[in-house]
Amino acid sequence: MSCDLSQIYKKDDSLPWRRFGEQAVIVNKNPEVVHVANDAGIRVWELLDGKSTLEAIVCQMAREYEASSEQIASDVCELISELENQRLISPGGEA
Amino acid sequence: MKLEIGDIAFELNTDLPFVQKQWCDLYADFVTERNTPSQFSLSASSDEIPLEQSVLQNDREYIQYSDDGVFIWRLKQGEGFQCFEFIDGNVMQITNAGNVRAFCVEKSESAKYLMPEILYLNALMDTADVLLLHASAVVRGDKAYVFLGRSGAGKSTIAQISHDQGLHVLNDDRVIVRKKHGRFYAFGNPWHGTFGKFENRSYEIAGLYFIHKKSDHKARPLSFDKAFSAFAKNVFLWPPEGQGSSWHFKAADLISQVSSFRMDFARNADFWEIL
Repeated sequence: MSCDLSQIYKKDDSLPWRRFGEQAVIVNKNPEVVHVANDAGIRVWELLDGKSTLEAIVCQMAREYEASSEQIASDVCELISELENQRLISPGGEA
Repeated sequence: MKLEIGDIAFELNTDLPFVQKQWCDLYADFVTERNTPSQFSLSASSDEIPLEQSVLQNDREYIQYSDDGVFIWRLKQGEGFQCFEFIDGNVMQITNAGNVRAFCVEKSESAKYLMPEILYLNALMDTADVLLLHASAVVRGDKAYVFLGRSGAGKSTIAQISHDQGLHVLNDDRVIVRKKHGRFYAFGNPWHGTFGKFENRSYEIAGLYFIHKKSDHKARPLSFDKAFSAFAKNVFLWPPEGQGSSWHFKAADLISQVSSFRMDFARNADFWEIL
């Protein structure tokens, strides 16, 4: 999956979330839905600070995880699409 | 009458003889004389207390199961107190969240049976690490095996088979789970199912087994997300919208620390061999 890596997204900082080992849970408010993310997914979530481009996030992930940048970019784009559909993140940022 | 269930003390008081008899029968094994402070109290009375509609805010319906079948009740939460309004018009009011008093004017036997259980959970929803699972729990060795499933899934069947094998049944329908010193424990409680067995004891949980009746026995591990999804369908009294993060986190904490399995089983004791 591909997407515009120059985009900036910001997570909804009001949503409660917590790590449990290599998993994490994000609780959406309206409707109240629980999102379960794996370790890499929640790392992307942490990096969606409204300042970093997706390209920067992919680079950071490539430094932390043993996978090709192409694979990470594809996974990040897929996750962004899912998070945006669930309204957990919004495009645009503070940069 | 002072009870201690799941290491939580509370008091039941009533001026209604038939309620008193029912509570004495049901809760005899859980009466305590220890000085543990009561977390809440319930008073069942023939006095009628009018509901103040103006302060009611959220509205949420739950489905509970009773001896009579499906039993629907509605929880309304306002500032400072909670009200329970039963579909058939029976009403109960709870005041002062910190020191709960309740007045029930309901008539149905099933409602009286459930009242203390409902109170127990709601009084502790945000103040204690309590989860009530729709599950049976059986002790083998020094661990509790917790079998989760909806009505008809086989919780009581597993409890009965296990009991016939000489194993202790903590409860055949509902299991209280709490975390103590970093580990999760299953507690027996009096809110039993069709098999009717329970014990006032607690054991560390060996595993969570989501049960399905099949022709043979099989258990396979569940991933965190699949276990979480299955778990959410087997917890009583999921909290009102917007107030659930602490419960979700409690559930996630349990699932991250205790192994979860999908378990197919036939109606015989051989399933213990695969656990």
